[in-house]
Amino acid sequence: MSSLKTSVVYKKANGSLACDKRHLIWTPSIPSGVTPSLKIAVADITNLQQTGEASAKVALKVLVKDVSYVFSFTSKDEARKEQVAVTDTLRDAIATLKAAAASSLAPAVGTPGAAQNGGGDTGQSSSMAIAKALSAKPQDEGWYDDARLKSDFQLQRSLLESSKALDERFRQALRDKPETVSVPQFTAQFWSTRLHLLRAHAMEKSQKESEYNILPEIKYNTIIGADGEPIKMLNMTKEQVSLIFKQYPVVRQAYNETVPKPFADPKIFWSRFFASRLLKKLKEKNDPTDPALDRYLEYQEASGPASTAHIPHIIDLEGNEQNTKFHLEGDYEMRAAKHDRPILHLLNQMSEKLLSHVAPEDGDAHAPIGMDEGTFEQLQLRDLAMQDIDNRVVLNVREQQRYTGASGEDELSADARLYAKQDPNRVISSLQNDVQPQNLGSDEQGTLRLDRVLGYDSDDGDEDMDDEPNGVHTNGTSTRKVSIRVGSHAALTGASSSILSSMSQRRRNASTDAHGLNGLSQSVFDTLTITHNTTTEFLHYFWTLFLSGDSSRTSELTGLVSTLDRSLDRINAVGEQAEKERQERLEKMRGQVKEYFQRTGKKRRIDESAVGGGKAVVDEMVRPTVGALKQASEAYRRALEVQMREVAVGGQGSVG
Amino acid sequence: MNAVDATDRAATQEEVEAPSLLTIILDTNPHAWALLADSLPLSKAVANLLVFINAHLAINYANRVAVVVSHSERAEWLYPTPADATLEQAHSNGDGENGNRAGTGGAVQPPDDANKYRPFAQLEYAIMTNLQRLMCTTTPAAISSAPSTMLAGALTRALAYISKQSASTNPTTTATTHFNYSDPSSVAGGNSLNPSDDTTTTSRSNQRLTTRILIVSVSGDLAETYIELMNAIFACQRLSIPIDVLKLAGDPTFLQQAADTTNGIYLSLSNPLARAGMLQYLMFAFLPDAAARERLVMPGEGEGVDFRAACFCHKRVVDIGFVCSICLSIFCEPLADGTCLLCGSHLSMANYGQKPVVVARPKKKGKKKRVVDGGVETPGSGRETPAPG
Repeated sequence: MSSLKTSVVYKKANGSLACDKRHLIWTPSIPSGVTPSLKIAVADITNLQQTGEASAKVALKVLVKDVSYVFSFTSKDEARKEQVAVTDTLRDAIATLKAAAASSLAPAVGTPGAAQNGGGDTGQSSSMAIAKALSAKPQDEGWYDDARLKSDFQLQRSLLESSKALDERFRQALRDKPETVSVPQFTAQFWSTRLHLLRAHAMEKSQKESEYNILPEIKYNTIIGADGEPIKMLNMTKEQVSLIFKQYPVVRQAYNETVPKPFADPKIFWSRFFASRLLKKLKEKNDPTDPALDRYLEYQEASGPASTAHIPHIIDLEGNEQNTKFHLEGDYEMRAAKHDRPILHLLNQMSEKLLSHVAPEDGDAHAPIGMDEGTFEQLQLRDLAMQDIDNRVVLNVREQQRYTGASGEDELSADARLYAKQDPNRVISSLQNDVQPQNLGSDEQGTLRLDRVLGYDSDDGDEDMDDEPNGVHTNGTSTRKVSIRVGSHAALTGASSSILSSMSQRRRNASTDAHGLNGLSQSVFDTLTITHNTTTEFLHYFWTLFLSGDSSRTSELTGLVSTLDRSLDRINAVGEQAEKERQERLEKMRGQVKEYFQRTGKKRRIDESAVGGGKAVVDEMVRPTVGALKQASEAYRRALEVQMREVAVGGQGSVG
Repeated sequence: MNAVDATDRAATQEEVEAPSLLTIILDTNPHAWALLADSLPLSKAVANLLVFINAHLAINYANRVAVVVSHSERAEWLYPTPADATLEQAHSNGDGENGNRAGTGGAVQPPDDANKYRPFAQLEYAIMTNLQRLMCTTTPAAISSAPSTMLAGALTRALAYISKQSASTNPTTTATTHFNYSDPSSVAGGNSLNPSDDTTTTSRSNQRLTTRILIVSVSGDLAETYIELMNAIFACQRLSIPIDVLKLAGDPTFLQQAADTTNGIYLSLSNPLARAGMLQYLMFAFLPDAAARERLVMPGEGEGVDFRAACFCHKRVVDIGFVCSICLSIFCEPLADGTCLLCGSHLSMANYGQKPVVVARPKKKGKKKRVVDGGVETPGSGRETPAPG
């Protein structure tokens, strides 16, 4: 076993690090010949980290679950080389261990049939085997591990295969992705937002159908042979054989013990087996029941071992009458023979009547039942209604003042800033004046003459727009050049029409929901849907990357921004396609009108606005998406501008 | 003759329209109304509202109304007049300081006028005097410190009133007294806050009281009370009380959501012309009650509802925010110590929400370190964090 030995410092103590295919062993060097004080099994290692290539310090960090061990390599010249060697050895060892684990698990699970199914994906066979092995162990908590879900390509592929919409979205997004984004990066991003789907799919896959009982499935085919005699043919597949062996170990044993010696040919074994009493015995457990004939079966076996088994009298229905010590004479209504006596019916009827006056549990608890309130009060099941214990959890936002108190002037809304300009004293006094009774049309007795205040006069036209209505207080602000009088005819008409238009819009929305295409053809609509989907995908990706603060992925980000711009182009292209379609349709209609004119001499008008579709409809549909795109690229440009400036300043600073 | 019993009578009562309770929340933020003084002074708006209320009361004799003001620093009842205010009012009238200031219409009781339906006069009088009192007791200091309005409080008061009224409409006690039209102290539709007084007109029918809320709003900046406001809105949704919103000015964010979630009508009168037609909007759009609305196409802006939320930490309205995976609280920026302010769960951000880096930098050590720090705090390492699965 090749073993590698290097000198390292661990926890500030010099020592040597030895590494073979199974263990990583650290031995302190000070008391020479001491036993290794740290032994890490390779199988336990979850991660390896090393210092950067250019770094002066050479160290290796070994992560075992939550514990990490840092070894600094001390060899003067060879430190880097040694570290690389150790790392490589470990990496290989881990890889072989994993592969071994996978292959050892695979045959345990992979029935021949399953192996055939997977045969198409030879390139992925090892990871597939792992996936299989894992899916065979549903108790494995690994499915809750995000990282594993993200890296399980086989699972992802199978999820894509099972969901067509997702597959389409994935492919389209993959096609449109920017060059700077590599496929692994893209897929990682794509799945990171869909971990829940992956998890659900993994669960689903792990719940496979259990094995069925194989023996009753194997049937003879009867063929009339050449000599006129019926020949019984038995066809068995390899899978069936293995299932038989699996489900009935005794058959396997029989096969092992008999096939080479008494029976030269497995065929003979099987033909004998299917004619044997062994088969009958095995099948017995699973025979279909026959109500007519099965009782004879039981009758025959009355003297058999089954009937002598002890049955406690208390649960033995037949034994009750004779064997129990209790005599049931007292319980008149309990006796089977007396179940149909009239008195029992009477009792039942009375119970029914009683219950009919009790408030049903699912009804309105307060509604009176029956005629009399007093009876209802008595009958209401108070202990059941409206008495549930209030088990709410009170949640409070803690330390809120810490945040809200700090809001500065710049956080004031536009409204608040307008308010701040007003003098509170004047505001209040003007309002106090405003709510005086005479402003509400109070007459001498104090009755409000609202009709006067409203100033509504059905005869007034638009000409008196500037009129001050009677008795309206001008509250001192003489600067107002009265524009529209409250309650004027024009204002009311305007209000009516605006309400009516909003109503008709609502009705339109409600009625077109069924089709929802707004005149677009199905193909254009589908294209638009896909474009929208991919755009959303890239927006997700953009924000994740943009807010990750990862400076090593800036080029990826730049590429993504250009993709967002291209998404806009794609949306526009769909719009143009729709517009073209619309024009074609219009053209066709115009042609029809022309033909009609030539034929009949009558002109017909076409309502062009009634023809739906076109770019306008597309733009309307994707308006939010376009808005989101704009916001994303604006955020990017702003950040870019600021940071370019910073870099420029910083660059000068470092040069100077 | 034999058919005269309670069951048959109940059946005939089914034909009567169910009574409807309209609760109006009037935003009286003085600042906002001062800004609107040119196009729609408060007095005009109130006059329009009074006409609307009268129309509502006239539709069905059993209809009721309640008016709450959401003032700049408090929420108060305009109608029905709360009991303590009635006392106080009687007091000040005795001094002759408040009540008779205008010389007209300042009587203790509403004036008797043969030309006016008595309930209308009472209601108008109560609203007017209460509004005057409200304005008189408002101090400049109070409105300068509070830029917005107590809408959440007003909604809560309205909800409490509604639930009280609904409970008393389907009474469990047998009240057999009848509404006395000749009694001058009884109020239209039994609008007393005390439920035992007004079980009279409607107690005999088993129909449920249909209720709705109309918010006449003039101010934005509701994010300050976001949680309370949304709680009230969801309570309305649960009780299926539609919230209608008439927005005269201000930022619409949450009220639009309120109307949308509770299936109410949202109308925004953003320009002076539209505001001048306020009465028409009220009568046309908001007068039909829930029963009528089932058969009508409702007006209002159904599209483009602003569904943004306010964060729990700074009360900012956010486009993109951070949500606690345990209790769904919203935050506008990553929390400093990674602990949810609401449920105390320990959260980790991995490396999302960092300051964007769009220009590659040669020196990246410091940056990296921060990322590692964030990554170490894996979710689930905190003891009290429930397993997110």
